[in-house]
Amino acid sequence: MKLFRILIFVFSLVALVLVACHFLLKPELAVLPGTSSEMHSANLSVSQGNVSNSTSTHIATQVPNPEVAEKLQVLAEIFKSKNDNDPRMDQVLKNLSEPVKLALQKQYSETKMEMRNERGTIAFLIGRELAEGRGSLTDVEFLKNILLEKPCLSLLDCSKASTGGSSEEEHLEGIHETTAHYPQLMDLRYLKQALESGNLTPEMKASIIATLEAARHSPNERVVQEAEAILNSVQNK
Amino acid sequence: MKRLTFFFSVLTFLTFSSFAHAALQFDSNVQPALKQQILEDFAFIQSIKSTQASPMHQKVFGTVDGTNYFNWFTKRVFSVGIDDCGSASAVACVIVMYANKIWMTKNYTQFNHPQIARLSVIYHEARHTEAQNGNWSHASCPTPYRNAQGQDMKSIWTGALLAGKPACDITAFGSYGSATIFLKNIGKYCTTCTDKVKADADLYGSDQLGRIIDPKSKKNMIADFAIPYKK
Repeated sequence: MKLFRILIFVFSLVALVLVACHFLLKPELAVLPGTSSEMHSANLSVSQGNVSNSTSTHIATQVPNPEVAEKLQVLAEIFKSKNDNDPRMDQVLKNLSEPVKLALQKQYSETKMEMRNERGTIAFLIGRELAEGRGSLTDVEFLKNILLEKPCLSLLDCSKASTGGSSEEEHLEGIHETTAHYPQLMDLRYLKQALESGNLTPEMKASIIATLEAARHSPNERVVQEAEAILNSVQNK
Repeated sequence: MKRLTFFFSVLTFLTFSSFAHAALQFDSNVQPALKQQILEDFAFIQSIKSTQASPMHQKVFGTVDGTNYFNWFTKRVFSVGIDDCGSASAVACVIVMYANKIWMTKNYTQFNHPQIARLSVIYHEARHTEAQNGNWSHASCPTPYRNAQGQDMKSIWTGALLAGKPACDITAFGSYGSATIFLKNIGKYCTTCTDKVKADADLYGSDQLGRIIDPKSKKNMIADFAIPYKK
C-alpha cells in the first residue's frame, strides 16, 4: 500500500513537470518569423517608450504580427513549391509594410548563400517596392549590403571555386554565372529602375547613387561592371 | 471559394502534369524528384498566355503560348534520360547518337536556378536535337572575346578565357538565339507570368544574347524584341 502511494506520488510529480514544460517551452517551439519569439534583444528599450522613428519599426516585429507571419508563410510555401509563377508573388507579396520588409531582410541574412533563387527573390521583392515608389532608406541600405557581398564561387558551395573545367561547362555556364550573381543582378535591376522612375525624393536618389558608388568597390567583379554601367547611363542622361 | 480555387488549381496541375507525362518518356532511372520537377516546370510553361510575340518568336515558336511551347518541345524531345553530361556543373545535354532525347543531370534540381532559367536550359538543349539542322552546332567565340565593358569573357568557375571556345553562335536561330527569343518574349509579353518570372526571363535572356557574336544577328534580335506581332 505504501509502495502504491509512492508510485502515485512519483507519477503525479512527473505529470506536473511535463505540464509545466509544455507551457513554458511552447512559445519557443512555435517559432514563427514575425512573432514575439523573434524579438531582437537590442530592442528591449522600446518597452520603456523611449524610441525613435527608426526603432519604432522594430516594435512591430517584436509583437506578434499576423501580417508578417502570413507573408512569410506565403513566401515559404512559394519557395518550397519552386514555382516562381505563383500568383501570390504579385498579389500577397507586394505593397509591403515596413515590418514585413524588415522581416524579409532578416530572412535574407539567415538564408544560405547557395540558395540563390531564394536570396534573389527577397532582393526582387524589396527592389520592386523601391522601384514602384514604396522604398525607404533602410531598403536601400539592405540592397547596398547585398552588392558588397563576396561573390558566390560555385552553385553547390559558394565559398569554394569549382575545380576542373570542360567545354560542357563553358557551353551553358552563362546561366550558372547569372544564377551565381542572381541576388546582386536583381538588386541592380531595381536600383536602375528606381532611378529611371523619376519618382524618388532627392534624399532617396542620393542614397541610391551612393549605393552604386559603393558597389564600384564590391569584391564581386560583375557587380562592379554593372554598377559602373548604370552610373554611366545615369550621368549621360 | 478558397477551397474551390484550390481544387481547380490541383486539377489544372494534375491535368498539365499528365499531358507532359504522356508526351515525354522518362527512363526508369530518372529519380522521382527530378521527374516531378521537370513535370512541374512543364505545367508552368503550359500555363503561359499572351496576345503578342515578336516576329522572330512567331517564326520559331508561334505566339507566346504554353501549348505552342509544349508542342515545340515534344516534337523534338521524346524521352528524358540521366547522364553526367561530361561535367560536374552540367545541367542537361544532348548526345547526337541518341535522336530526340535529352539527358539531364542531378544539377537540374541541385542548383538553385530560378524556374524560367531551368526551363531555358532544356529549351536550349531541345534545339540541339534538330539533326536536320546539323544540331545547330555552336560557333567558336572570337579572339579576343570581350563583353560590353571591354573586358575579356571568361569562365567564372575556371577563369579560362572563352575566346576560341565553341560557346557562341552566329545565327539568331540556334540554341543560344532561340533560347534568347523564348526568354525575351516571355519577359516582355507573358500576361500570366509574375513580375519575378518576367524579370528573370529578361535577365537570363540578356545572358544568352551575349553569346550571339555576329553584330548583324544581334542587332536584328534587339530590334525584333521591340516589334510586337499581334494575334
